[in-house]
Amino acid sequence: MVAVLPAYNEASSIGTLVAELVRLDDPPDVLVVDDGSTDDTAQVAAHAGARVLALPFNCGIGATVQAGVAWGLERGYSLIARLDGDGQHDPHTLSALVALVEADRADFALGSRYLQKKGFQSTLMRRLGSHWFALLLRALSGLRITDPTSGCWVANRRAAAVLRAEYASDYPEVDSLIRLARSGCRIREEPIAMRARAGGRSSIDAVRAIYYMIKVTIALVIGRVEERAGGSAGGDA
Amino acid sequence: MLELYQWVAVVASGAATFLVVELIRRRRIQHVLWLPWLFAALVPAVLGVWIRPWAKLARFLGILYQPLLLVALASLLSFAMLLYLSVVVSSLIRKNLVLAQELALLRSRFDEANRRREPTG
Repeated sequence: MVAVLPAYNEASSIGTLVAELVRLDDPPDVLVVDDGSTDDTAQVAAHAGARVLALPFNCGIGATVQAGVAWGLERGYSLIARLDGDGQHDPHTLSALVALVEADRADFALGSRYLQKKGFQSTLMRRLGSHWFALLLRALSGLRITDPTSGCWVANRRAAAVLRAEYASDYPEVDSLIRLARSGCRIREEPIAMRARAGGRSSIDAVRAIYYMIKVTIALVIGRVEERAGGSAGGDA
Repeated sequence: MLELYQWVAVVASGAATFLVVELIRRRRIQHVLWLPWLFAALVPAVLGVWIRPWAKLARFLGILYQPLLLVALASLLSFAMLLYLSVVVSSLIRKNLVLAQELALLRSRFDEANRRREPTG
């Protein structure tokens, strides 16, 4: 398995996270995808024992994760995991997600902050946003997901191939869940505990959170219309 | 004989057309983009010289102040141009991201191949 850590200016936290991952009982290979950082993220990650994939300039979270997934698929990994580079996901929680996929109970195992409400809880605005997207996902696609904006997951090669083919460039989490469901991938959630950021600064402030909610809501609705149009076209053929 | 305002429209249109043609000649504007700009540059001359058909069309549409038809047309043209440019820029952003990913993956493969070639020991 390879653990993909997208990182942008996370020099203060990435080293600790990589060290935690390589110290696990069954350590995965670790790939830090450096999204054009202007600090020493790449050097710190490499020094801590990670492989580094360096994007030539800042491409955004979607392209960064997708590049990591492509790297993992090219090298034949059977499982690809993703954790945030800010250290908010505890690497020990990966094992439960891996177990789900390895037991063939899911193609895509998603870590949920809200199934058991353990550990650090994000801001009220973000929690409201997550609940709103969960409702929308359920209404539009029938998916029952409690934490649709989670950035902690494990995918097998089938699900990873779907993400490699198409991944929204910004705020991609909710969109990718719809794509995975449409492709017939089985999605399951498992509780995870979050931690406070080890360092750096979140890229999502209040204004961006509102922009995120509006943009993703419109994308979800358009996606649903597209799906219906595709269904009708298929039926006519 | 043309009125003064018609001459102004023809001269302004000629200057705009010259500018667009010059940019095309110097290859400062790509082929997917120059056709709409050339069209936009020529429109004022056409509208300035053949004003009667436009006035008739405005009357037919029930527009009391006929120049408003030209304002509406200009707004529509601006909207179409901006939309077209947004489509082109979106396509470029997508291609740019793919190129950045491919570059990073190739660099990674290259580094790995170099490491394998280095003597160990």
